[in-house]
Amino acid sequence: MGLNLKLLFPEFFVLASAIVGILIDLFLPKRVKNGFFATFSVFILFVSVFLVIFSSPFVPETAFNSFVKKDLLTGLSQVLILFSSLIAVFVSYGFLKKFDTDYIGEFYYTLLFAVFGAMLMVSANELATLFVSLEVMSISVYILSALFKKDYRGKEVALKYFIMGSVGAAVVVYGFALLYGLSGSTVYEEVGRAISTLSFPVLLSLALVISGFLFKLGAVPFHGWTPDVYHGAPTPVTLFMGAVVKIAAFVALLKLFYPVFLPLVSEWGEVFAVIGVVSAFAGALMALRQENVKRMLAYSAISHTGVVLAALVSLPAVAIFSVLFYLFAYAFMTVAAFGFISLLTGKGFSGENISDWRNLYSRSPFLALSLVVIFMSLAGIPPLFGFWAKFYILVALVKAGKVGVAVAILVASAISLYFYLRPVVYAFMKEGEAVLPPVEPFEFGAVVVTVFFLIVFGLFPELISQVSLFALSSFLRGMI
Amino acid sequence: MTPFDFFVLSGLLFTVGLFGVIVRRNVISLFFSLELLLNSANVLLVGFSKLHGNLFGEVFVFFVLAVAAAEAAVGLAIVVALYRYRKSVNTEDFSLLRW
Repeated sequence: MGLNLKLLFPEFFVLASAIVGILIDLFLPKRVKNGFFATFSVFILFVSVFLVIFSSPFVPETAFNSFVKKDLLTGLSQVLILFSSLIAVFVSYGFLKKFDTDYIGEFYYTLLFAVFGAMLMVSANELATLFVSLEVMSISVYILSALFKKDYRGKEVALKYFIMGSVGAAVVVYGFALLYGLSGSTVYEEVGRAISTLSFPVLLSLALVISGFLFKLGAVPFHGWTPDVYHGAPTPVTLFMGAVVKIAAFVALLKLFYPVFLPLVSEWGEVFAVIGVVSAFAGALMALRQENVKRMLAYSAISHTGVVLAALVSLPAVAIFSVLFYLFAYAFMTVAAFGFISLLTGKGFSGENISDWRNLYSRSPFLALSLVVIFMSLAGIPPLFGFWAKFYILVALVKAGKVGVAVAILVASAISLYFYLRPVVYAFMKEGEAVLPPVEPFEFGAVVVTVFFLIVFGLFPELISQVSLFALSSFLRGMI
Repeated sequence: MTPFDFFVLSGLLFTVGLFGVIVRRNVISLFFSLELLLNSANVLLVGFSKLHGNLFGEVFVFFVLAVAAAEAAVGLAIVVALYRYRKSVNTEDFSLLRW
């Protein structure tokens, strides 16, 4: 109990630097803004990584009268969020050189605000905190997608994402209001004490909260916005949405559902399994015929979301572990894939289509090889990182006796192999000329680093599984 | 007032809002419906707050109001930006990206 403000130091640090960013933005001439703000954001995010690492407690601690609770699960996901944002900043630096905007300073500090929202979202332990942080993150992302000059696509998707996101948020709030009515409190533990059986109000609030989260995660049946938004948003923003927003939403879901709806775990587990399997299939089938790589990756994101949701049907501890591991792999793969696309994107959005990647191997063998690593990791081919993520989820499902779900996910992955192989085929076997704009060193560096990690973690998955186990045990300690 | 009355009132508001979001094609009307959705939750929160005799719900309402205002500001800015391209605020005109 008590305020315990120092627990939230990393979040305050990011927030304060974002506000300082607003002030600095007023005094700088436009030509130095990109360089300055990129350096500034990289510095802030880098420092925050260390702050998070050193301030994450193994024994869960609460702040603001237990409105915020931090454990290693929070710390780990915050590190992942900060790492993805770091890569997003590197990619943005190159992207902002290629595409013009009047709002360079705004772009970077809005990104920092979004990072703040995501960091607070994974540490929330109370319904209003969760809602506000969710909205801080979402509203920042709406702004980010609409900031580029002469970019109609970005503004259209900002509106689409805005409408769908707001409906999702409103649905979540209505569910929260019902939970408050049932329990008379908004702190997770106290809400959880009031929920034991599946009465009608509990069912209604559960349905509303699940629907709201599915809106945010982009799973079937609320996946309609995902392809448009991933396709139309500027590529660094898509990277941010794909990695950071997904991580934050999934971890917030774990932290909300296990304490609050624990007695009903088998019921909502089944619901997530059904939604997950349908999403995995829908994403995989709809991605088959896409020509635009960003749109294809959006459908693949729906498919991956489905796989993670399906994992929630297995035994709680194993489910949390495998979801965490998958999120790790998914963040690295998404960051690498969208960084790669941003690297190849030139004037007028050339380089986003698969046909623009014809014969990439002859233009740049190294890029073509990293393309193979990224897409094979997404497909889940051993010995890359993506394989272990899928492997752990399948093991978790089989151990829980849900062999049917495991087989369904395996079939969906087999289907998805087809569309992950297409870019590789185009890059190596098709005749033609790849469109390759001048390579930006920072984007290139970001892609190289993430590809390196995909290989290293693929060869030594125990590094990540050990860390995930620590996070899991810390989280479970907070539940008792 | 019983909890059921609050629930009926807010449920009606929520339904109206959801209906508006699905049916309306004008973006400004869509925003009205979104506000209605958020405010239906507010009605429920205030009602339950009175019932439980604590202030969690009413404080939550302030947060929801603040967020709704921020959302409306950003949403209207996006609509103004889009209006410059298409001279329209009809959702059917914003359909460059599909399938």
